[in-house]
Amino acid sequence: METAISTENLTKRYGRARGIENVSLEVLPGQIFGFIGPNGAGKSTFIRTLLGLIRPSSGHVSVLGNTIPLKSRSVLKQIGYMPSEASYYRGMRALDVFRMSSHLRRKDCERESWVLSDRLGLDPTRPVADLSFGNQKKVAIVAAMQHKPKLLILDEPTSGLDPLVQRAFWDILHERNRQGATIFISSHVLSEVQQHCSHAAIIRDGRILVSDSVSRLGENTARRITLRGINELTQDIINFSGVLKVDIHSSESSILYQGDMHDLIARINQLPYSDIIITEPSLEEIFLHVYERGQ
Amino acid sequence: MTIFFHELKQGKKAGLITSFSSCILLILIMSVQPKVQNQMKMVEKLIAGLGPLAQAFAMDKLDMGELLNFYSLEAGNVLLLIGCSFSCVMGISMLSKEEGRHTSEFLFPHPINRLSVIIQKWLALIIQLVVFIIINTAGTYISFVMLNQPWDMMLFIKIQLSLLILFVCVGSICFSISAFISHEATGVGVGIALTLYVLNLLINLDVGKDIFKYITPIYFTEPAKIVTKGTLDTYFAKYYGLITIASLLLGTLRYAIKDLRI
Repeated sequence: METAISTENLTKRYGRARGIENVSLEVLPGQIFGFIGPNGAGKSTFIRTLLGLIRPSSGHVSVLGNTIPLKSRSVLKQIGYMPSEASYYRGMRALDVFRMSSHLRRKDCERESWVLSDRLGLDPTRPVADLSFGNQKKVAIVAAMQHKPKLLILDEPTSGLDPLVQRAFWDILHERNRQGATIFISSHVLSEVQQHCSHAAIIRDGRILVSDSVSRLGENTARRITLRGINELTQDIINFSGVLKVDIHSSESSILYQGDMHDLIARINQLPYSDIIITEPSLEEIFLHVYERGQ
Repeated sequence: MTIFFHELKQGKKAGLITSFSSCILLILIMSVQPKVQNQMKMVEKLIAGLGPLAQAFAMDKLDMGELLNFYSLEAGNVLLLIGCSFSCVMGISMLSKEEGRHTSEFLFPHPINRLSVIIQKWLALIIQLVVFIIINTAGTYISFVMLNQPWDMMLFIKIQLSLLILFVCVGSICFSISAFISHEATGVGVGIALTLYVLNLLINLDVGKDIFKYITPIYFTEPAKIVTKGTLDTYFAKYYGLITIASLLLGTLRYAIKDLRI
């Protein structure tokens, strides 16, 4: 089966500085693939290499069956790309951005740009410079999607969007996916990747830590349990299987835990805490204490 | 040709403001010419007193009482300096502004190859330089007609064409430099224009070494030289033609493979 995106030992170095290191990844047609990593992990470098904006130091890149950057022009016709922070030309209205983009693609996308703008609540007649950060994001979304590409590459698309627009955005994305589009989406929000993506990879310090289906990655998801009103934990809990890290402060204690929550809660309930908060740990914590240690 | 028209649109305002400002300045300078003509004896005395300065601006070689001579020494010289700066500033930012203004991440994921971007942007630069010289030539022509004095039309066309050749040459060289940088470099553009101008002054003063003639294309396109010799120096025209083509090739090669800074 032909892959939508395939990289083999892809490496990009900027002099002595690291970009990405031996990244091997496969995204199959029809997948919604989440690419997770903290800021500076190499997500954008990887994406820019896919698009031929930067040349790899070594390794092989293939997008929609074509080697990049050799055949990047024919491939780019079928790709919609949304950068994490898009910049546009001075004095342009959103409408002008869409028109310029469709002229560059030699495809009439006028109708679709209006439909997408309407669904995202964007007034395309306004100058881009006058738009808020969130509305500028919408411009980038419409510009990436208006030509109905086979492959959508979206770099942190939801940051800056309010929850209602995020919902409209994901609805459009799932529709496109049902119509056959492959979606590659980079994010540092684990929950949205878990909710919307079928497959995901985690990148840290330029290296892929894990790449799998989201359901299997989800099995590894740890939780942070914060107990207020206590400043000590029993050895029974500290040594309990699945406890990855314990932090004790003056008025609260917290536990990073991965395992069956019922077993731990049963033990915690014997403690005199005043409040309990269970949250998803930060990605950094997951990388440090789950994937890096466990896999 | 989307990028070509886009560049023209983006550069329209700045280009027209520069062209018309320069045009008005030329007309103002030319309006002084009848007074200079009426007081030639005093002007000649003044020029003789300038010493090396008169030599630097070639004032010692031409009779300022004649219309085209006056134009080439005064207005033409101003047009040369403004046009040269305009060409350098436009050229030096043409490619690099995409990275400097972070628009490369919008432009280059579209199905266009970099060679096409280079060609369209270079053509847009040339058109803007042609429009600049046309507006200034038209303004100067009107001032000539109003002054109602005899002048050689062919020589005037040669002066203007040589200036256009100069602008295309320095604009293209700066355009090629633009491929090597990743930010807007207006200051560098102005610096290059002024350096080329000063080198030519040194050549005119005979203090510059012969090698300067191979560094500044102003040497063979200066209006006063065209009026004196009646034509372009073909040796230097060929030399700078080759330099322009070589720099464009080098810039193209660099831009085709460079990692775009976002």
